[in-house]
Amino acid sequence: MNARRHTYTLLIDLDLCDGCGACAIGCAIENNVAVPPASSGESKGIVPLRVEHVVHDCTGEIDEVWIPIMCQHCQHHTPCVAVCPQTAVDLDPESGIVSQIPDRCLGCRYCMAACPYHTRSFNWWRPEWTQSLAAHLAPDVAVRQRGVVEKCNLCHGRWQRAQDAAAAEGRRDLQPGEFVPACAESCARGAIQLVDLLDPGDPNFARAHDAEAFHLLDRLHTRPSVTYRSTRQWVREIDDPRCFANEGQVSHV
Amino acid sequence: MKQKMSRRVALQWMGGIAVGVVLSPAPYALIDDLTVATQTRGRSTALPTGPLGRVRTRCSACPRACSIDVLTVGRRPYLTVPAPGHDASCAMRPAVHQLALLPARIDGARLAEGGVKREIATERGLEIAAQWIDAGRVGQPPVGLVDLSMRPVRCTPLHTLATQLPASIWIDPAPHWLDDLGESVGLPPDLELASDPRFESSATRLRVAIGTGSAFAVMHEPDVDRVARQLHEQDSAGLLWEEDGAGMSPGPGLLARIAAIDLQLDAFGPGRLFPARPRLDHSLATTSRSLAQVEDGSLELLIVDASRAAGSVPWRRLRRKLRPTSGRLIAFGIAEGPAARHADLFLPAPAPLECEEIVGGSRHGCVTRLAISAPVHPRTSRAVDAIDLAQLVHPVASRPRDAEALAIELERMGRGTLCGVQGDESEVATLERGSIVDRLRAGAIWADTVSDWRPARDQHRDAPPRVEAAALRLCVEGSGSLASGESVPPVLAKIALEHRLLAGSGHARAHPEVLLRSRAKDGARCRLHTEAGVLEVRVHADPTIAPHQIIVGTGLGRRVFDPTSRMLETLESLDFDPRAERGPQVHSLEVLG
Repeated sequence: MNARRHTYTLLIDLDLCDGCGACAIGCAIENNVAVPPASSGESKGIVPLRVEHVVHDCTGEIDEVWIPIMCQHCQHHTPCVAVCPQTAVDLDPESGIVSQIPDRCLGCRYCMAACPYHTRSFNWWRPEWTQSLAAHLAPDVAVRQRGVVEKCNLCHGRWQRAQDAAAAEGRRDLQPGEFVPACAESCARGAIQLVDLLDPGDPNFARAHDAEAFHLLDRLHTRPSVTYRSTRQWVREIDDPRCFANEGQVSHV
Repeated sequence: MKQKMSRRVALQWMGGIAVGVVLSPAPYALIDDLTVATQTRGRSTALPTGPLGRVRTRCSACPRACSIDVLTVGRRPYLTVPAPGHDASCAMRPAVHQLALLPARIDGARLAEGGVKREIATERGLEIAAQWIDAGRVGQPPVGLVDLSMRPVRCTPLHTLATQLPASIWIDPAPHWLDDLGESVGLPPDLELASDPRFESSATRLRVAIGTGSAFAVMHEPDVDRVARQLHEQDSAGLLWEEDGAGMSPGPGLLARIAAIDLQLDAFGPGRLFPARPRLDHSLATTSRSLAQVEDGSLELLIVDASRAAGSVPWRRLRRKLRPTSGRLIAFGIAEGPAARHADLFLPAPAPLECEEIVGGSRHGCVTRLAISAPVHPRTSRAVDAIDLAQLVHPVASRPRDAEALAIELERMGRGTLCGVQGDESEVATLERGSIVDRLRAGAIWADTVSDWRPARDQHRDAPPRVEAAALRLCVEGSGSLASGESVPPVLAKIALEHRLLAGSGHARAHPEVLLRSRAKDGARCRLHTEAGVLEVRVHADPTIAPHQIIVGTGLGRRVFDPTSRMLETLESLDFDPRAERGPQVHSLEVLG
């Protein structure tokens, strides 16, 4: 059995995020997510990455935070992997990326029900673009067919491309900066950065493991790899339901 | 020799074949292929192929002109990302890429009657809104406005984003962009706006503190015109608007004036007024608190601007604020989405990029035409909606326009207020006291001068530019400091059309008066001695260029004299950053040969 060599994931500094949404747009463009038809409604769009807006007034002082939420790439008893009857979801032992193989997907949506973060979307419609837009699709990500589940795969196409480039130079490991997911590259404020949780030499390694770093729904023991950071305590405890007992304090942006 | 096959051997063969078939990947691949084939009827989308590239350029979504990298496949762009080391950017940057192609755009008003929504003309929708406002103005409780657009670009899930992207108007690249911008354009701490001799009545000398827009909140039309001219004369001019002086975001009145001055600047060059945004920390929270303080079921009418790129509008909470039976909700929006569904009256809002013709196409033209009724001049602010309403709600009122009135109001402004235009109103006051009417009335100051503006603007356009002793500066095509109307190229639109259009001109351009002064002929090869070095280039006359600027083109990479540019004849020893907003001063122009 191969030992895990990398755990690539995202380190998101919530104190830097101003919710501009560039990450969501960049993700959609990079992954060739088609614009859903007008009849899609709010619950049927394909959203690999969404930004939640949370207004907090527990202490009487209003504060707010924007939380980019994508697949958390759980590393332990990954719920979506466990329930998939087609092994269409896979935890890549090489990179630590939870990947989705659309060609294998039956569309049963068990994984959507199992995901505690609701980061999976079902592709209800055949992806269609206008002719002019189709000419500007991203080159590395195949268009998924109707009837499959989609999720963030940490820009697997970019990872493959970076690996190919490294292999062409005779290297096996990637250098920092060679693989950057689209959301991280789109973030103008540097709030989203790639980190290898197993590489102490990674420039973001220390920040991903210090006291200000946290994971969403850590109590589920699925060991999500996507790491958030904040200096504010209430943000670090944001998944505590006691903090948001009142209605209307969390709004989806 | 005849080979015999026993039954045992035959069974072994058949069993082996069966096991081989079961264990081989062929059937599974076949099943997979069949799955794909049945799920993807028709042709699959072909992805573009070609070498991957990265082109450094400028974003043209706003005058900030952030440095961006465009990721390309072959010659086609597919994603824009911030240029490394240049963090001033926003969600509009990637959004603009797909702006012209978004579906589900609503280009007419929608009115809900008896639970059924029907489409009506935009003009009719505005009339209805005006009637409701007029009725709410005299009623109790008063009309309220919820402006949830204090943060310019906000994120939504993609499906919402996809239908609302074009609505964004304000660009807020970074919280410190005011400082950056001020430094980049070389603004002094105080900008002295001397009177223009062409406007004899405007003898007031006005000092405007950079970083406050309060002075312009009290500006009247002649002064707007004068300031616009003044800004034109100063190549480094730029006004930074911070807040409305009361610590809140600019209201419709202030936005109207910004739009007014922008409009005038458009007559000369790119608009250079930047309505700054409130600080990042408390804006939306303040609005949320304001909303919470309004008693449920107490409001007669709510007007919600839901036209920004993406926004979180608590529609259900807003609904609760309205009276259950008679309360009405008016929403400005762009496309299908929550705004269109929840509003009793939905009004289409213009998209700034469309207004500025950054994104072309028939759809764009259609939307622009329908979303913006007369007057036909370009509008660059979402204040246009409020102004349209203001025109309908309030008849034109006469008000002092002379410098004396301005001085009085400036004096009042010095006492820390905003002359009653914005007042010291907070968003709470906006909701509770129905100050939308006041704001709209303030907006009418701008609105009632629309007819006056056209001849004034035409006059500026037709007037021969004056060549003064202003310092001649070398400017880079695309720089935000240019005064030429074509100086801010719609980069993204261009790259979406043809990559080659990114390449700059193969020569420098200058006003004919500049060539005349230097006794150079059109197209002459000249040596420009600048404070940053020497440049040899062919200079062509271009009357659209400001008389104190010489514009040089840039290459594909937006680096001056990029090898990929068409400026093959150019020789240079310049040492300056073409992305700097202020180009080097040109000491002399020497004609060669």
